[in-house]
Amino acid sequence: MLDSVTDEYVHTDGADPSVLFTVAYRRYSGAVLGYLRAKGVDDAEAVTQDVFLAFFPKLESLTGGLQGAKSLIFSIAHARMVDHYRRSERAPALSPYEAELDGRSSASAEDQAMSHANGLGAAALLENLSEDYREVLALRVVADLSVEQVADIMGKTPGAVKQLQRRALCALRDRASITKQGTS
Amino acid sequence: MSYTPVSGSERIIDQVLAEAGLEDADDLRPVLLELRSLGGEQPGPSAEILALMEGTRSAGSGLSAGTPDGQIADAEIADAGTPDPGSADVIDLAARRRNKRRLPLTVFGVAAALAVGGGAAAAADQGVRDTLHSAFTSIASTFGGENHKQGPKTPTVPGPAETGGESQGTAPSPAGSAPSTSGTNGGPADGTHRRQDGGSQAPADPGTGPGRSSENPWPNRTAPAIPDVPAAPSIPDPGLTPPSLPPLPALPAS
Repeated sequence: MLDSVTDEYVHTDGADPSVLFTVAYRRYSGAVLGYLRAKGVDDAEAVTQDVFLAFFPKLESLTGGLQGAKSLIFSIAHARMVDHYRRSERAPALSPYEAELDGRSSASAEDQAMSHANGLGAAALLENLSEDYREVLALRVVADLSVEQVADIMGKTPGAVKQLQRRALCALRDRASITKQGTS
Repeated sequence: MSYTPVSGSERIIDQVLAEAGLEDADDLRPVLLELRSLGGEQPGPSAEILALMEGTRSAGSGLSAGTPDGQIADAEIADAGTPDPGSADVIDLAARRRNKRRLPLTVFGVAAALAVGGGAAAAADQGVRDTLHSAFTSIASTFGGENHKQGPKTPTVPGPAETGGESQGTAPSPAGSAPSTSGTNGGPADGTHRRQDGGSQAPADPGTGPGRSSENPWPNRTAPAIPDVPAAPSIPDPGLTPPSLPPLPALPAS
């Protein structure tokens, strides 16, 4: 019911920053968490908290109401995600070998049955896509950002984002069909 | 097509598919819906975020009243879980930055205090003092020849000059400071004043000793020495120049 009211009418100029922060957290923290999970960030919940902690000091200079806050929050999340991957590239993760976590092994029949019970495994499908495809799908579908906002975050033109989105959907479709044929 | 979106997620997915020209891709909808469901779970706020939200309850709603959006904010804030007030402490980041700036100064101050304390402890040790004394003695012995030549010259040259200047300005025999000796005639109180004046004016010249010499037969010894000094610089000047002139004509001859 509350979601039916558009965000553009929220006036936040001169408002208490804590009020806007609370509203923004309630609305967008789940989407930020989903975006980070779709991008494969390890500790997505902790990074989500970091994103909002970095968002709070910028509230005083924020313009555009909740839509501006949304764009800013996902810009911070995108930057944190990039930082995460840079850090993980520099320091390789050291962990003891566990057969259950070995990605080179094929899934057992039980695992396949459980995965089908939960769905088609969209996160697993995204892992096989290229970085740009995953980024545009996560920002458009999970974060529910407009083409212009995605273009601003990714540093591309809206036309390029639309093309990228079309190719990403076609690639995802191919992967889903291949997975279906392999499991059926 | 008989499909009609029933939720906000389906509407978003339809919009994305329509932008890509894939309206008929029904096999993509469940995949995208599952992808969309990744953002359905809302993480619980941490203690820091709860502390930042805590200000809303004390300050009240700051959003503009009169619009339905103010009601949105109030409703969502009221809908938020009640945080534990004891666990929510606001961290002042500016104070943290200030502490970081003071950290080098604090480290420097502690290091300086330790150095001073260590130096005092070392100076209190007799062995260290003996070592230092021997070291200075050895150094002084190596350079002693030059220092001994320069040493007596420096005190003797200013000594007579000062005493001479004072004695010329103040004619009377007590060779202490000029104004006090001329204005007052003897007495115990004057003697104390002279000691203070002499100590503050000329501490580097123990030989003159104006205050102490007023009670002793000192002035009788210093008074005759004073006129010799001004006479000395006047004599060598004419004496030095004539001997230097005769060699000049000898050079062109050779």
